[in-house]
Amino acid sequence: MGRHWKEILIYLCAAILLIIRVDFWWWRKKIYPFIFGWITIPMLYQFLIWVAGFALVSYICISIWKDPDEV
Amino acid sequence: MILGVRSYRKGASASDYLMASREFKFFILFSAVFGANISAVTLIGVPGTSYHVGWITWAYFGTAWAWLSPLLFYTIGNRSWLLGKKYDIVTISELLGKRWESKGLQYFSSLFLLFYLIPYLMVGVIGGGRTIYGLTNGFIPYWVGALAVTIVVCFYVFLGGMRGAAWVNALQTSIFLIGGIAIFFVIAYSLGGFNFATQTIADKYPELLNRTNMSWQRFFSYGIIVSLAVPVFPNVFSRLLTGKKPSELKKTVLLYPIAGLLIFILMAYAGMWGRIPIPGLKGASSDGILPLLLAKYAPAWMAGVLGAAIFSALMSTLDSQLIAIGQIFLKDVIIPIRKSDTLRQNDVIIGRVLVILFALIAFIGALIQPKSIINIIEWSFGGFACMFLPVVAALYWKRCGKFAIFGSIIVSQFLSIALPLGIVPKSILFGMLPAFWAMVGGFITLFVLAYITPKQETELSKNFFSVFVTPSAYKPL
Repeated sequence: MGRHWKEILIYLCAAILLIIRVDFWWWRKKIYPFIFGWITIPMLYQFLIWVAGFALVSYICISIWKDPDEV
Repeated sequence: MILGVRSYRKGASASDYLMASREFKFFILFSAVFGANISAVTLIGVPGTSYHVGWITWAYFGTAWAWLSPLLFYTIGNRSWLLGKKYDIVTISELLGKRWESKGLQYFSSLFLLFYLIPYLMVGVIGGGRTIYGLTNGFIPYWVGALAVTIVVCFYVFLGGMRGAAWVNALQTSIFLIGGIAIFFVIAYSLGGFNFATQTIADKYPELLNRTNMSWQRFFSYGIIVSLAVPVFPNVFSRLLTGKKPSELKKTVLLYPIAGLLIFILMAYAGMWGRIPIPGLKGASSDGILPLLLAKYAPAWMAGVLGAAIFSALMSTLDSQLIAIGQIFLKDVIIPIRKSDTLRQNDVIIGRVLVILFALIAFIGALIQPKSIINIIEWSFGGFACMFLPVVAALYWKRCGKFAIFGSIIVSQFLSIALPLGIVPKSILFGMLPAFWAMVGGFITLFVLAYITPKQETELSKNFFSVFVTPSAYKPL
């Protein structure tokens, strides 16, 4: 896959992450912390969204972004 | 202040004063960009908001901005850096003006950037006043704290310009990251640990865990607004161009999400837990929760040291904003008026006068003490976010003409101002923040006008896009 399409795919993934980041199904539900006594499931879900976003940034930096002097 | 004196260079050129000769390496670049971005919002506004709405405040910023803004630093920063190197571009308006060879567009866009930058500048000064007031339990008045912050920042920016500010930012970024971790642990320990504090919140204030006080529409729209706004903050944008090589920016982008998430998690939990020992703060008064907690639980010396973390965060943004205002006035107003292409030696003096002038304006504005920090910021971020699409179009869309950019800015900025004021009925918002619809309006206008107005392909625009002949560049549409 060409660089152009890889970039489009990454922006598409970013858009999907922005949408699924809104976990409205848990919104305003009474949820108690259960991991280590202070982390709830929605907190963990939000953290995983960040992990996925960070993976996109890492992919851009490592695989797509080339310096002009690296070419 | 010592670093400001050390970075002073007698006879420095205006370009060196404003852009540090574009020679920053990774650590200084990261500190300069991160410091410009992390402001009173993070160490004062986030704990203050979290006090009322709970843990979701970290996700409000962290699960969109923390990774999407760095990703967009690549989208915008990489190409802008290449153009900046070739055409000596410093500001967003200059980029738009040079791309379409339009001074009108340059003046017009700089007007909006200044319009939103000034309230944002005030936020840092307000934060300084509130922090000193909170840390000293009201012994030192608000205006003294605000004045102290203004004078210190003015001093090192006046002397050192961009280089001085970036050196200071390296120190400040380290202080507020380490200080933020320390504040978090001090507060958690004082409240009986993470577990006990969170269980107490679950029992006494369940709405802070259940997200009752924030709608999902607001959460969704703000995530987009803040992520798109940051790369086009005038103070962040110009710093993206100060790296010696694109690889310095690349390393910055890689570290950014980690540092971003960390600082927001720490501040949001500290603010939420603060509700336990200090209940009953109303509205904007919760912005003082962190200094109040430090004054309550930390020994005086430690409260002072940790308070320095808060000052570091707000001053690192304030200095970058003062420099950005100087850049906009010099590059987008003064140079086009006198019809020259380059900065002159004595422009440094103008830059320094502007620093003092706008610091004074920010101080006077801060004395009015408008709404809470987060309210000011949300409005100002929305205005900046509306500039995102014109910048992307300038860098990627060959077909797009200047009338489409004019139209997009007019429509989006009109909506951004008219919707909060109620000139356009708020019923059309569907719970989203006004800036979200302003961006949508701007996008539709840009798209439609780009196709119905004639294509403007000049020699300059061809040269403009020829700079991007690298594997990392998009083919223009």
